[in-house]
Order: sequence, then C-alpha cells, then structure tokens
Amino acid sequence: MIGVRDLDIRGHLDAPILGGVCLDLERARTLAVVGGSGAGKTTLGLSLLGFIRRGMRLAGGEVELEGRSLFALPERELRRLRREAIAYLPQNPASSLTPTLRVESLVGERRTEGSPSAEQLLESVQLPGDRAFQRRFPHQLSIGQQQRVAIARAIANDPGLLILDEPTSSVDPTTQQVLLALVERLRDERGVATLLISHDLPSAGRVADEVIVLSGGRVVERGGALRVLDSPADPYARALVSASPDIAAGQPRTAPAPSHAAPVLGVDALCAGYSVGRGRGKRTIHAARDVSFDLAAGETLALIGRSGSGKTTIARTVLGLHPPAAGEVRLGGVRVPPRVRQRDRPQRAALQLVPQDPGRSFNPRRSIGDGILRTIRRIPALRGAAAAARLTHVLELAQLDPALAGRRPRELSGGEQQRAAIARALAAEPRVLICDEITSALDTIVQRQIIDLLKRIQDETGISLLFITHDLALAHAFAHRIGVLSEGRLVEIAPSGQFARRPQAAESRVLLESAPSLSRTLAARRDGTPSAADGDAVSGASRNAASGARGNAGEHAGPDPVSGRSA
Amino acid sequence: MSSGLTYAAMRMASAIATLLVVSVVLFAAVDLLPGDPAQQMLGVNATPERVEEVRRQLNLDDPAPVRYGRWMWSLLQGDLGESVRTGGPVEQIVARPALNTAVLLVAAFGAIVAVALVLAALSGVREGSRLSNLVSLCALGALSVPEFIVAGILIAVVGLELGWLPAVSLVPIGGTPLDRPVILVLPVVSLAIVGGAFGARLIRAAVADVARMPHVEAARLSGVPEGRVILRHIVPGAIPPTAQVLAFLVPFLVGGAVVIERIFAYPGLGSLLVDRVSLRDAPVIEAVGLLQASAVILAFQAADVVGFLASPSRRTAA
Repeated sequence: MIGVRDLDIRGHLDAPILGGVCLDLERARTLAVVGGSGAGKTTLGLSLLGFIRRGMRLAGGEVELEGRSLFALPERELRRLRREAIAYLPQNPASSLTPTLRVESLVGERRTEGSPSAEQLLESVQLPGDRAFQRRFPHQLSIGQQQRVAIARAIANDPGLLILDEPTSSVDPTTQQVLLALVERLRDERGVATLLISHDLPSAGRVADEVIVLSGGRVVERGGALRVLDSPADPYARALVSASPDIAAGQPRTAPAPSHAAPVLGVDALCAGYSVGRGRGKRTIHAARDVSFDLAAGETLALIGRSGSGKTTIARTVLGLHPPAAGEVRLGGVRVPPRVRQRDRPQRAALQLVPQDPGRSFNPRRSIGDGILRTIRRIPALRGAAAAARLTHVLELAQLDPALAGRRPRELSGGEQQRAAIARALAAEPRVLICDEITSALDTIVQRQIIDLLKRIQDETGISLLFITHDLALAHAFAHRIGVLSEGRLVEIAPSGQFARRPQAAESRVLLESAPSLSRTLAARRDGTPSAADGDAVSGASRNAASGARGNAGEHAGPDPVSGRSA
Repeated sequence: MSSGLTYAAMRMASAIATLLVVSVVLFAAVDLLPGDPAQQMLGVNATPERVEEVRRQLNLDDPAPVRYGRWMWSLLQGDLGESVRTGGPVEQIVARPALNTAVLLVAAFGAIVAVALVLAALSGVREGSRLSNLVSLCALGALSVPEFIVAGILIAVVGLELGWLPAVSLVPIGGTPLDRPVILVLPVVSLAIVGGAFGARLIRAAVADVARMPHVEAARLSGVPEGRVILRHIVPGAIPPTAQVLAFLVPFLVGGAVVIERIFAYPGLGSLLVDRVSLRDAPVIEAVGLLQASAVILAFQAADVVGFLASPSRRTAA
C-alpha cells in the first residue's frame, strides 16, 4: 500500500537525517519504527505524508502511496490524499487542536463521505458524543480529553493509512490504552495499515506485526515484532531493548542498609498549596497534605505518582522555593527556615535541584561551563584556579567531556544537558540531590546511562537522592525505597522489593498494574491473551469519560478511599 | 452572549472613568497655558478695569476646581460653553470640523486596514518567504519617514509638478468633503502610507505568531485546504492581537491628522485646534481635546471587546 525506497533526507550543511531507508506497509498490518531521539523517526513519519520540514531537503529516494510518488505530486493533490486517505497523529496530540474551533468542527472538518458520524467517532475514543460535548472548545476539556479529540479528528476521514508519532509518550495511560485498542480494532475491522513511531517498546510490542529499528537515520534491524523485541541481533537494537524499563523483569535495587538513626533530610507533616482562579472562582489546591518522610545518607528515595499528585510541589517546598502552609524541613536533625532566602549558604548548598528541563535551566546565551562556574563562585565561593579545578572535577564526576564546557545549552544533546545539570548541582557539594523527572524527556538508552551515572556518583560520594518520577519501573530499578503520592498524600512508603511484591495502598496497585513491561507484553502476545493491565485500564477510561466534566475530572473526582484509610 | 454584554458594560464603565481623568488633565493643561485669557481677548490696549470686568464675567477668579466643576456640570447637560474669542456656542464651532475630520479619519483608517490586512496576510501566513521579507523591509522604510515629509513630497510631485490632484484640500463653504472627494486623496494617502506600514508590520507579526503554532502545521498535515487553514485555523486566533494593533492606529491617526490637516489647509479639528491654541480659546480647545480623547478611548475599548468575543477561552470563562 505504501512503500519507501532508499529515502535520503539531508538537513543543515547536508547532514544526513535519513539514509537509504526502505519499508513496505500492507493493508491490515502494523509496522513499528523504534529508535532513540535523533534517529530520524519523525522525519520518516512526515515523509509518508509527502512533507519535509523546513531546513531539510529530499536528497534521493521516493515514497509511493498506491503507486503514486508523493514527492512528485502538487501540493493540492497531496492535501487531498492527506484529507481522504491518511490519518496523522502528531507528537503531543493536544497541541494539534486549534483553540478557536469547537469539537464538532475539529472532528467534522476531516469527515468525508462514508465516515462515521461525529458522535460515533467521539464514542469510539470513549468520549461523550452528545451535542453539549461537541459544542465545547479545547480549553474546556481535560488534557486527556483533548488528546482523545485529536485521535477522533485524525481518524475521522476513515483512513486507509494511520501514522502515529510517539503516540504514547505524552498521553496519559488511559488514552494510551484507548489508542492502542483503537489501532487493533481499525486493523481488524477496516483493514487499516498503521505506522507506529515510538521509543516505547512495550506499546510497540503490543500492536506491531513488524518492527524497524532506526539509528542515526539508518535501519539497523528489521523483522517480526516478537523476534526483534525478544532477541535483537544488532548491538544498538539490543541496547535499546535491554534499556527499556521493565517492572516484571527488573531487579529491585538492594538497600545498602542505610542507617536511619540520623537522617540527612527529614520532612515532617509538610503541607503546601496554591490558589487558582480569581474572585468568586478562587480556590486552594492542596498539592501536599501532611507529607512526612526521611532520607538516610547514601539512600535513594523515589517519589512516584500520576501528574497532579503533588510531586513537584513537594520538591519545591523542600528546596524552599514554595512556601509551606505547615510542617518543617530538617537537615541533619536541625530545622531549616521555610524560604530559600532565609537559609544560609551551607543550608542552600546541602539541597540541590536537578530540574526537569535542564536545557532551559541554563542561560541560553552563555556556555554551560559558565553556568556551572556561577554555582561554584556563589556557593563554595571559589575563585580562579580553585574554581577551574572544581569545574573539571564535577564535569568528570558527571562524565561530561570537559571540551563541551564551552558550548551553549542548545549545542548539547538532551543527555549531555542532563549531565551538565547534574554537574552544576554537584558543584555545590550537596548532601541531597533532588531530581525532578530528570529522565522523562530522554530516550530509554540515555535514560539508562543517566541512572547508571547517578548510581556511580552515589557510590563514590555517599550523596542522598530524592528521585521524583512517574515511571514506576525506573523507580523500582533505581531507588532503595519508593513513596507513592496520591492527591498530595503519601499513601505508602516501602523498600522497592517489598513494594513490588506486596503493594499496600490501592494507588500503588493501580500504578503497578499499569507499569509498562516489555517482557509481560511479549509473553501475553505469545499466549494470545491481552494482559490484565490492559483490561483494567480500558474500563478505567470509560469511567473517566463518563465523568466527562471540564478540568482534571479524573484526578479530583471526589474523596479517595485510599487517602481516607491512610490518614 | 450575556458574558459578552457584561464585559462590554464593564469596559464602558472603565472608558468613562478614563475619560474623566483625561478631562481633569486637559482642563489643567489648558489652565496652565501662559497668558491671561481676558487680557488676550481685549488686546494690549485694554484698561485694567475692563480686564477685571471680563475676568469677573468669565468667573476666572474662582479657584480651578470650582471652574472645573462648573465646566463638567454644564458639559453633562450637553453645554460645551461659548468661545471666549469669537463668541457663539462651542458646539457650532466644533461640529463642522469634527465631521470633516471624521470623514478624513474613516477614509484613512479604511485604507490602512485594507492595505495592512492584505500585506500582513500575504506575508504572515508563509513566514520567511521572499514576499514576507520584502513587505517587512518596505514597511520599515515607510515607517521611518514622518508623515509631513510624505505629504510634502506628494504635494510637490502629484499636486504641483504633475497637477493630477489638488495640492490644497479646501472644502466648499457650507459643503462637506464628500462633495469633492478628490481633495481627500492626498491627505488620506499621506496618513495611510505611514500608518499602513506600521499596521502591516505589527499585524504581520501577530499572524505569523499564530501561523507558527503546532496546530497550523497539524491542520496542513491533515489535508485541510490552504484557504481553510488560513480562514479557520489562523485568522480567528489572530483577531485579538490585530484588534489591538488597529486600536493603536487611532491615536496615531488623530495626532497625524492635526499635522496633515494643517499642511493641506483642510478645515478639520486639527486646523481648528492649532488656530484656537494660538488664540487661547479654552472652551474650544477643551472640546476638541475631549473629542480626540473619546475617539482614542473608544477605539481601545472596542478592541478589548472584539478580543474578548474572538477568544473562546475568555468568552466562556466563568
């Protein structure tokens, strides 16, 4: 149905983006293109629409859809094909919705003769299809609902070819399950061919018939999904598979028996909130409620929870960046002032943050070496040769080539930016490193490298880590203990091994069941049964859809039985 | 639409409050102009007794707040007072020039909107194209030239050298500029060249901001025809910032018209204002100033209401 022949796309200064890529996709088949960031996956997906982003050019090869070469077609004809035959769901689907159009226009705009009605389309993605819902604008929907409207919009033209670009990386787990189930149904009922671009191997493993592994713009391995994901032959493909976090296959980190007699960091009955809205609509969101935990020297404590569970607010409050409503933070048993401005230099040095988006936490106009030196001058207050020596030392600790210190943030890869942010935090000689979702923007291989780096630094320096993540498999493999947050409450805190075997709180069980696992997915496919987690998540989706209200309906819907019990 | 009405009512209230503040500033500024109005009315040869008598007649010896209160009170009753230089009610003195200026400004504003929207749409939708860069460059060039120079060149070349259009825009006595529309051409073009350049540049930026958003690329990639991409996916999002830009053109035009009317001897509010400032005819100056301020305030309030109505997230907020 669609074929790619020797596709060669070049970027700035003729740098190759894609080289010699070939693929064929037949009706009712699903092909997954997997690979790390920068492998050229998105460029490949867009080329199947006959589109090449500005700054890139076609250097050779062609894309044929039902015998017609896309790059030879005039723009008008291409638009017609995209309108009638192809569905494309971009990365970050919610941002593809035009804010001034109502749901009915967004979905209706792409309907063609013979398409299901807008109501049916919305219901097929587990959204209410009624008139009131169709009259809404995107800002009146929760982010999960926006994502599902984007999916309904994409498939509204009853397509023969479906192109999904990283459909699972930015969507919530519910939408993820809705989408994967939809791909299977469209394939079985309408013979839709799907190209799934992803670095999420468990999702690819669930729906793909075939897998192509892309690295540096070249295909390094291709074959049946089960074979490639189970026993890849190419070294890069092997690294990709083994780096995929897997709650079922992974070993929990064994505790070095950290002594809790004198914890480095103590957090006691911490409450924090912020107000939203104005005037009569003003209300307070309680982001942290009565949170207590301590952290021993050399220990890693993971705080996990869904978005909106209060993870980042707790980190900011501990750092003194957000005013607590109640409770206290202790360093080495001594209470520290709530606001960072009131803390003295050693107290500030002791707690250091590695932020979620390291690239943006450096001044874009200055080199990252400058950024790290700024910390060195301010906190250990070193100058001249001593400062330069410290810079070299922390760069080595973070395994970042000192030659890169002269570069500006955007001249570094995502992994290098993250290492630079770690080096900057280490420059203050902290006792606790607070890492806020530091791996979520990275592909799995780089993610694994960063985790290995943090483990090594911890072994060498005995530093403690507060590791905030939504990825349970990662927390399980890296942390000594795991704390689960739900609506601002710490509902469970337990050693990793024990947590995975015997979760206590209901929220913990939900997180465990929906944690991605390549080995579990592949095993389920061999047996021909969908895994239990899928079934659960889908019924959860319909519950969410039924509640349907604006805002984060799913997250703030009534009292949580778990938090009631743990209080 | 009730939220729209509430919003418009709130804007109206704030417009009136703004206008009150402006009236105080205006009154104070006119009051602070050097020279004694009574002395100026009577000329240098008047006796001190006569000056004193006129001062009393005009209540000039009352404290400024009292005089402001009296002026505002009669203003609210629709009485703008009488000219202290030529006599006669201010309403009559101002009416005809106000009409003439309104005709000039509406024509110039229409020309600017037409030129700016077309240029901005052509260049903003496809950012970075050759046309887009050319428009930007020309706009910058036109923007750097003051309107009186543009007017001077137009008069010299089109009016005098070529003789195609009248170099002076005299309105027939008792008629309106629309009786001889040809006299409007040069003043309108002088205002529109600079204003259009200014507007095109800013509207272009507003459209380009929207065109760069991911939902526009997504619309193109989902096969939406280009006309619909522009009309449904780009233009609605660009309306609120564009309304603000157009509102900014109004003070520019009101100020520009003062100069342009003078140059073309066009009998509008600008010409009247210049005459009466040199005559120190306070009631007329204040009336013209209030009219100009009202036009500007009204334009900004209208832009806010348009922006409110055109943005679903504000319109539907609780």
